[in-house]
Amino acid sequence: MSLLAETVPVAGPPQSRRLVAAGRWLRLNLFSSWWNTLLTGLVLYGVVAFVAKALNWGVVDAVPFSGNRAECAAASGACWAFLREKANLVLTGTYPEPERWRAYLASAVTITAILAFAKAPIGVAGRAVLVLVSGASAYLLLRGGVAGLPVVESHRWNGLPLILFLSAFSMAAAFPLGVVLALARWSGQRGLSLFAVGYIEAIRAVPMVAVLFAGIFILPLLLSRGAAIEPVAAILIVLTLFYAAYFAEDVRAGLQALPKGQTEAAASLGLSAAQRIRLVVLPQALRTAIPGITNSIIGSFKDTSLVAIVGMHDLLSTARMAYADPQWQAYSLEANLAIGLFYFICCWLISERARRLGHGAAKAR
Amino acid sequence: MYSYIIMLSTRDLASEIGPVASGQAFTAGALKPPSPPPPGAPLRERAQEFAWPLVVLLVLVAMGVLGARNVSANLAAAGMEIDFSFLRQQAGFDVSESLIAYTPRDTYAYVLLVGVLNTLVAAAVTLVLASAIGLVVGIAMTSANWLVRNLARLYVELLRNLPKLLIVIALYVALVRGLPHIKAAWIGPFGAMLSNRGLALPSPVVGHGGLALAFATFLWLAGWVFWARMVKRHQDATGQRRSVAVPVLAGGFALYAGLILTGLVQVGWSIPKLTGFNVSGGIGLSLQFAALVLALSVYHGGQIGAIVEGGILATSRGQHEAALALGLSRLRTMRLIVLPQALRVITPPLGNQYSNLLKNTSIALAIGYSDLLSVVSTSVNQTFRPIELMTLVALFFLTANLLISAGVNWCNHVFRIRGR
Repeated sequence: MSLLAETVPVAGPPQSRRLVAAGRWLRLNLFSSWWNTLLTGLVLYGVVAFVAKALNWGVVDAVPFSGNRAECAAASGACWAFLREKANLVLTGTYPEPERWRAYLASAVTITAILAFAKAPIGVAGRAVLVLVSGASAYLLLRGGVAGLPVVESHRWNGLPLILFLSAFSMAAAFPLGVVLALARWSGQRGLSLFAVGYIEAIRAVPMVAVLFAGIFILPLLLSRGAAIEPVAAILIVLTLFYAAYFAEDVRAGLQALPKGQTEAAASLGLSAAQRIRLVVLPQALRTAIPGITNSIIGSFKDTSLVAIVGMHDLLSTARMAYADPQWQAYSLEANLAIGLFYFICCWLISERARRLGHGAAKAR
Repeated sequence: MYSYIIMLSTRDLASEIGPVASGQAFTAGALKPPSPPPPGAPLRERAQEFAWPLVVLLVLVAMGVLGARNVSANLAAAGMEIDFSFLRQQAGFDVSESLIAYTPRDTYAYVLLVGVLNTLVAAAVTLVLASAIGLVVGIAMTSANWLVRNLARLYVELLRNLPKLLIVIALYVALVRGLPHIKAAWIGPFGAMLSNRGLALPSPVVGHGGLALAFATFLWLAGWVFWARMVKRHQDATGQRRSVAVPVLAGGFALYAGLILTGLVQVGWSIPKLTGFNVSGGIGLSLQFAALVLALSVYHGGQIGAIVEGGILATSRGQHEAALALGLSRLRTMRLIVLPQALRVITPPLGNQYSNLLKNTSIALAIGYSDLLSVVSTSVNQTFRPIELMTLVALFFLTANLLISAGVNWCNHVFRIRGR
């Protein structure tokens, strides 16, 4: 690799110039030394072999969505027909068939609420109302018992509506709680700050599965005698308490990055403590905390799938139900790939949205 | 801003000069003599400052008291109270695997110990594998090779967006379905056996001379440390570097070969054999353990990779170029110059990852590996002692977390920049 080659402009017609530039790029990025050339060769071989195999399995030898079981049994590749056959089961699980539209509608309500929460210009109060209204309507749709809808017990809320309901509304409740905890930790009031530190550190030290167990086994004991709590509600509560500790840590990072002069200036302007926090501290701290909060949102969304461990039938469990069917037993990979694709797209959308928000914040400064 | 503050503090000087054009409104306000605060104000403000936290704390305490009263009322109604004596009772259930001899006749306390050991062993193996994957991926992400760099980025991005439970379950199901039945197990060299029950490997068995073996191992390690020091002293004195690996490996080989050839130590091999539907002999690696450790290593490997990349990018490029200019090879530049500096940046988030990794072993429950939480889950179902058992779980994880953060602090201390 000579330095001269980089600095001397290439003469000749545009076509050959482009060719030379491409050749130079290849040499610099793929074949700069014998070691790099060897690496490129090995990796390229691996990638090509893998892609070829995956294409063979997923496209060439595969049975498309429109196929049937007999074709799948004969084919050596993927059986996408399985996904069509089991789509309802994977998405809604054991939700009673004639009422299935309610599960889909509740999912749609939740998704719409998430989009509106992220994009609509409605302020904090508007968002609070949005969360309450959409949460209540999704809950009532799933549960029934109003407007002539038959009651569906909560253990039959499975799959997509369950995962959306739990993750969206636990996070919506956990975020304000996390902000309060972070402020309490930051406030310098000894009692409050000690409580907040103890809470945050204790929650962050234990695994989420343990917290879910506590929700199923211990939370009902904390209620007054005779009062019962549905497992879904108990899980929603402990998820909220759990995620709040993680959000609190992200917000704390934002608060710590805030120059002390900001609060002092606000105080000297005569703003009350509440005004200082609402108008000066939080807007800046939250903006700084966006990357951390995004990570926590993605992490929480992914981790909500752990409710499967305490017997809630999320998408992973409904997919398991689908490939537990003896007739379709061989197609677990297809189901898991589909679930993986769902999570990948959702998480990618979240980080994309947060990136834009971060850009907007950078411009605002 | 700064000039205002000066003006405020040297008020009489400012009043002589008169208002400055650019900050006219501000200075004009500031120049007025401050009206004396109403006498009650500071007191009321201070009362408010204390009142709110007090109210919040009181509410929290009240909730705590109420919860505790409800718990005791609920337990009393069930004829129970908080009592740890059940730990001495017989557990009566089996576990997927155990490091120490265990039968269902053992006590709950003992089965919890089995769970703790299983959790720790899974976490330890995962920690090593995930760190290795993370190191390779992190270095690959900063590679000059376009293909390698982007493949590593794809890996990290993919794993950032997939739930760990999905990876564990998908891997476990794929292994169970993809590997042959135990009757048709793949037999490898030296009697290694792979089936959908797990991997069985031949294991060495020390016939006699265990003490001599332990002594020899100690001697070998001491010799390693001694030789490494000698090499360093020689290098400091003359600038020439002698090899550490070759003499240490050769010495170790000679030592062990000598012990076996002279008959001081007798080592046999235990070969796995199929007896009925079970494998006897050798050392077994269950499928659950393998799936858990592999999935978590791949998952955390991606996250550690991102951390390592951040650390490498944080070391200044000049260091890298200077090392290359001095004639160090790329491998040595990485090992001696870049990584030691990156380590300082990496340590805190890496400690965080290790703590997450330990906590994440609890998803073992989904595939039936007997870690602490799955043992606890069975125990809760049998005894209905959730409060006692969850308290023990919390204590275990709190202690483990404290130990991890102590370890991170110690590493920070060791890796700090010295001599400044």
